[in-house]
Amino acid sequence: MRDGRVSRSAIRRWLAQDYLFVEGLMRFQAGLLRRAPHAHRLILAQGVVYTVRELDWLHMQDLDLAARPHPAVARYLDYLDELEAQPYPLAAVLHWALQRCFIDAWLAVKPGAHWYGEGPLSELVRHWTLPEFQALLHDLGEIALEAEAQTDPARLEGHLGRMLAYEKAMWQMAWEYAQE
Amino acid sequence: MADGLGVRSGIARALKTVKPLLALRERHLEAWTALEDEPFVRLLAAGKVPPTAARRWLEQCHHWDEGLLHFLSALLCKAPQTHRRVLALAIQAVVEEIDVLQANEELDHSAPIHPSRREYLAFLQELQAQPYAVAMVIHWVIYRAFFDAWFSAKPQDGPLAEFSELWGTPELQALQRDLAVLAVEVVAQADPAELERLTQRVLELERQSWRMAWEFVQEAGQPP
Repeated sequence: MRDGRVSRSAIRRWLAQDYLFVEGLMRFQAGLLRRAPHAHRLILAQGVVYTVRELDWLHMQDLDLAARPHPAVARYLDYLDELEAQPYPLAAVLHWALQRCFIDAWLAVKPGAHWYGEGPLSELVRHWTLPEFQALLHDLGEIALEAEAQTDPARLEGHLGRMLAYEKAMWQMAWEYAQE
Repeated sequence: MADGLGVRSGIARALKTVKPLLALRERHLEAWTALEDEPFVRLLAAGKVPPTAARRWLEQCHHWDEGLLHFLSALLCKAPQTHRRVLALAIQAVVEEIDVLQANEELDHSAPIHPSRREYLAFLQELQAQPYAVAMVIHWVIYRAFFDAWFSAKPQDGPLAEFSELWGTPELQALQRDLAVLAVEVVAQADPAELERLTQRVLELERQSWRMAWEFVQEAGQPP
């Protein structure tokens, strides 16, 4: 992506899968919000609004939203369901971690200037680099920091390892699309 | 003149948009408008709600908002994408209202839930299990019936006057209009008999809520 060598069709397939994942993320966030202490709720509610905006944007991209979830997405969504049954502090830390992990990888890519000019990725780059999203991510980090103190470190490590594996599988899925 | 015509046609368009909902309201008009005559609502209009009763009522509002937050987040998960943004903003508005109540140090946030409030919260849970279209339209009935009664009184004085301001902000009014538009979009998909039955039930629950508030006034022991 950094070199601008990913085809448009691969990007569209990746974005369609992203839509399915983000829908699951929204459901996870709504569940998290219901369980959250008062002090965390406004930030989580803003997180839901932001996620819905992202879905709106993806919805407008004329993607094949009837596509079946790729196994990597299906497994990640199952994991989010599983996480809903975990104690709130653990779920809150993982919620921040999975967003941070994705954004870190995305920003490391720094898609080339040609992506910024036009097309869906330029808008996506803007979406994820907007100051309000960065501020939201920062606030979610504050919540995670508070929640981490109430989390069993060994259990958290185990979940972080799993989450990273699911993230990696998502990028591998995208790579599959790029090769096809 | 042209501006006047523009405004009139804008109003006509808005009325046409919410017509199916207004028809539902019309069919239950007697019970709907009777809420405006509840003794507590009349006391609100006069700005004479005793502070103790106001506090107890707000404590119950806090319990209600918690239930509403659960209901709306469940509704969001069932909603089509085009409805989600408005619902997400509604969730944010409820969270902000809970924050306002939570910040009120005079309230006892551990106050027990009143039986009539408990019944209303149980109803909200039942509503979650209804098809999306039914839940969405009945959500409109709930807030519209409440706000119609509230703004018929629109307290300008007394301990609850600040809520007229809070609920009358242009942002919240716009959000309510957007929610009405969503309800209109799905009203044709909802089982009409269910809508009638549930509207009747909401109006009874609203009546009980205002009676609960009146109970608090009477228990406050101050002549209104």
